[in-house]
Amino acid sequence: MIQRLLVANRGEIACRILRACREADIETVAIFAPDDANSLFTEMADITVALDGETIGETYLDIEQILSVARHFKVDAIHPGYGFLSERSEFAEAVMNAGIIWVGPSVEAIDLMGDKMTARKTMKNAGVPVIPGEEIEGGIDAIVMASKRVGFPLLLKASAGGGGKGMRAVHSEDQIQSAAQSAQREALKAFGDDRIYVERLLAGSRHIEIQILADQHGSTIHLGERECSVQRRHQKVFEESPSIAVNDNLREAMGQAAINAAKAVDYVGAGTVEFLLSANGEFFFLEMNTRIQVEHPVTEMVTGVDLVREQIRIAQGQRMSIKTCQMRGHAIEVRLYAEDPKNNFLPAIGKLLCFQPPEGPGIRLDTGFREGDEVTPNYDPMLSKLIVWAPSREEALARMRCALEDFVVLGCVTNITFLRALCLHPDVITGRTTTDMIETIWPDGWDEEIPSEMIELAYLATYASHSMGANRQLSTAIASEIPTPFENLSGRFP
Amino acid sequence: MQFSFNGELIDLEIEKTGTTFSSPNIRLEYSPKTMWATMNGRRFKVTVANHKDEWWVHISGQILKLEYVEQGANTADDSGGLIAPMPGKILEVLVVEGQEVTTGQPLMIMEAMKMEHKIVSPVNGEVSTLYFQANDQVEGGVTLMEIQESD
Repeated sequence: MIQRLLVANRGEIACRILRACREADIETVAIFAPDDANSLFTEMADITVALDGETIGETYLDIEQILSVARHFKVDAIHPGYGFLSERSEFAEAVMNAGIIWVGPSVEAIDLMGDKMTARKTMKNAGVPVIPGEEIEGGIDAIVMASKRVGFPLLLKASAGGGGKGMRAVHSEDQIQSAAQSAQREALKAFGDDRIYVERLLAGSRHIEIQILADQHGSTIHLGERECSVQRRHQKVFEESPSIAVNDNLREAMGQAAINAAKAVDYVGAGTVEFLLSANGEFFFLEMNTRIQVEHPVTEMVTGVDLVREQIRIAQGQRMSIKTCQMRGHAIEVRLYAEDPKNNFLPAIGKLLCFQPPEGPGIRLDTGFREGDEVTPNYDPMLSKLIVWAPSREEALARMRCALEDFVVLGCVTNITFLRALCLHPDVITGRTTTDMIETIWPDGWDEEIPSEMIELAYLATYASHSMGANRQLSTAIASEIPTPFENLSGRFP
Repeated sequence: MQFSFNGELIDLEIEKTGTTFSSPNIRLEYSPKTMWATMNGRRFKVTVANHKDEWWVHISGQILKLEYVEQGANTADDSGGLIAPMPGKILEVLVVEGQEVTTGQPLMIMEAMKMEHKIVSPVNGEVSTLYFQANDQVEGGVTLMEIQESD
């Protein structure tokens, strides 16, 4: 049984795991980079250890350093969260070689699924349908050649990656050269591997993924789907479960395909099999994420399963505590990003002068930030995830709209008003959600109309605050102008 | 006292009685941070936060950022400068000084938050001065280069 667990991550997912450990009566060790010394997650661990180094590579990605902390504090398990080292098999291997429990699947499973090309072959062999495409190991010319075979429109992806990094949609042949260069460079930077995967872009399709749980006693189950079609720059912003496009028959078919995918690599733990569901109802394997996923809370809300707790249970060799998937009601998650939706969703920074999350029945916030925190450009700009549950999709959407309306985030530009507009959009309300919807609905970028009386009210409140606070500023200004004797002396005797 | 919203100065008559502030359509009772206003018979909760000259206001899901404008300050940006949209690192400079550029032409590639961003020319013109080169770290809001707009 795990007595002490180290969380090799930061931010909201570190908070999520640390909480689950505390509930399971497991002692926790949090590691942090110097610029995270005051971050929320460091307050939630029993032991906190400062890492040496400045860059991400020298801290959260430094396998040796993390292992030496683990050995020094005699932890029996390491949870990698998502991102960072979570899908790096050499880390998993090093952890297991050190005699520490790895909360995740085997090295072989990570390797088979981590490389898109290998994953594709493995899935094809297991009878799971895949999208037309091919992997390129050569330079730009090879990518250009391959793009002609695959056909336009197409998608360039980093073979080694995820999270939209190194990913480019290319609509015609004249864009391929510059897109390939930029994708390769970004892939090299993000993953240290510039191999590119060229894949046919299926327009108007949905992103549907199946949550998997497998224990070391041979049971593998699926926990239904999550629809994550609404994306901007190939990153998810709005996720829900169940999907409006998935009925019981399709859920069973996709669930079985996902179970087959997991079994093909002897998968153990929590994982996600991502599919593209085309407009005509066919589904294709995209990739398998061999870790806990950002959007796991929507599945937790509709199935009542604590996925992180199950991960821990499975890692220490116990049987998972559920037998079958039972879904109830509807859950939606939105990702709060520090980014400017009016400026092409570019990342923003600033201090969270005010951060007041909403409250009420069926509302959950998974956050790595709190009021007063500084948003820096050093890490991913995701601040929090807001999740709601309600008996029906319609009620869940209404609950989300109200929750977003009550959520006060000031001091840093975020996508919060965009998320609210999204929840009010007819295509989201009717469930006509596709992966290209944001660029289709707002091809020139999103902007909002602010009614003139709102500007009047904002002005009035600002005017009032400024004039009431101005007195204090004035008094400090006067105080600082009182001359010191030294200045007087030097003034008198130049 | 002047404030601007989206670069436009707001000009409104305001009356103050104690801690009550009124504009033509609204009455607001001041209190620090969170306050209440009445507009057309409806009550609104208003949250205000301040940082330097920035004033952030939240009203029922809407967020507005007002800027405090010094009396007599010039708000018009008539220089031909190109401003860094965020802090980050210059990966590549795609133009040289003296080069003719057209609207939408990529000028620089920046990296911020682990993503690449293309900086494109907002005008037709000529690159007159480059202030940075590849691998330089830049702050958000700094002028990256000057472009002389052609007529």
